[in-house]
Amino acid sequence: MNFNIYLFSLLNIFVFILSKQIWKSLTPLVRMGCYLLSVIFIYDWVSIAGNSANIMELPVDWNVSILFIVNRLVLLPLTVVLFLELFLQRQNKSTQIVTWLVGVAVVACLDYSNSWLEIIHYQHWNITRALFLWLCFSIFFYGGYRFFGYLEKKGS
Amino acid sequence: MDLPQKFDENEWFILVSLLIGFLIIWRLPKRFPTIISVLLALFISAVSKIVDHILSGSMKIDFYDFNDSNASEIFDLLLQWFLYPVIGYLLIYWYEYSREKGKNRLLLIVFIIILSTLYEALSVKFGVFYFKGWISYFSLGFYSFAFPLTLVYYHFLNKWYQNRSFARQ
Repeated sequence: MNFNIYLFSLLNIFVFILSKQIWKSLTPLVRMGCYLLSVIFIYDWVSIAGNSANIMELPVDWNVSILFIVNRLVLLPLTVVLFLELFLQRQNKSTQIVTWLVGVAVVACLDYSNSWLEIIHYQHWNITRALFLWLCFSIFFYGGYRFFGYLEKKGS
Repeated sequence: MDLPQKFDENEWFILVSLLIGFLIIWRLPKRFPTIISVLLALFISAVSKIVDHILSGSMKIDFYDFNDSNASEIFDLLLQWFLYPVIGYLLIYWYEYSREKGKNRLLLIVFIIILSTLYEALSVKFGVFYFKGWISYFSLGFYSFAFPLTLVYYHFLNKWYQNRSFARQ
């Protein structure tokens, strides 16, 4: 279990530093909006999957619980915003589509890795469903990004 | 997502509070740009979700429950998506309005923290929250941290908004 904690801690730090380095296209307001949108989606998803749908067994151990929260506050939302940033920096449509699909795959794997590394336990849930969930979210998320951009341009 | 087990006072409390909150916001003159209002609402919603996730039983600690059951129900989402942001928005609005009128900032913050705690105590009376080891003094401590944090965030938003305006000129 210690290995998992170290691995995820390093991943969190790595994504945090990387997101600072790659930040070019998004303005602070739009970036904050996109980050909050991902955090809210992730927490609502955990709440629905953990409490209502019973497809997720949440961790009970303190260290793992804290790590699970940090993963959902730093690792996943920052990776989502990072891939949006990479997507916007691509020059043509084909590289944008590749970045989008790679982003969905990476975020779905990062999400599902919580189960692979036994931080949480999924029931009746698999990587294909996780990929589909994050694919749907990526479309909604892009809409959110456009919405924040529109509001920022519109002013008051 | 479950429906309420019984439509009683806690659901009414949430609906009436929301209605009053939206009516006040609708009647008030616009003070913040739309993007700042939206980002304030998202921040308050996100913080409340994270804190509720930690304190209401998802970890080993289980200090309180919401509404009718442990399971996530539609009124929990109404609470976290709309009611908290509406109340938070009104408090920030009132703080900014009073600050511009020259009122003492520290007194305003203390008053708003006490008011938030009293509103939460009222919601407990109506069955929106069931405290299981949580007491209102803890809420006082929590709001003493959460309200100044929201103010700091609001000032950052304003700064970013101003910079964006200068950059466009």
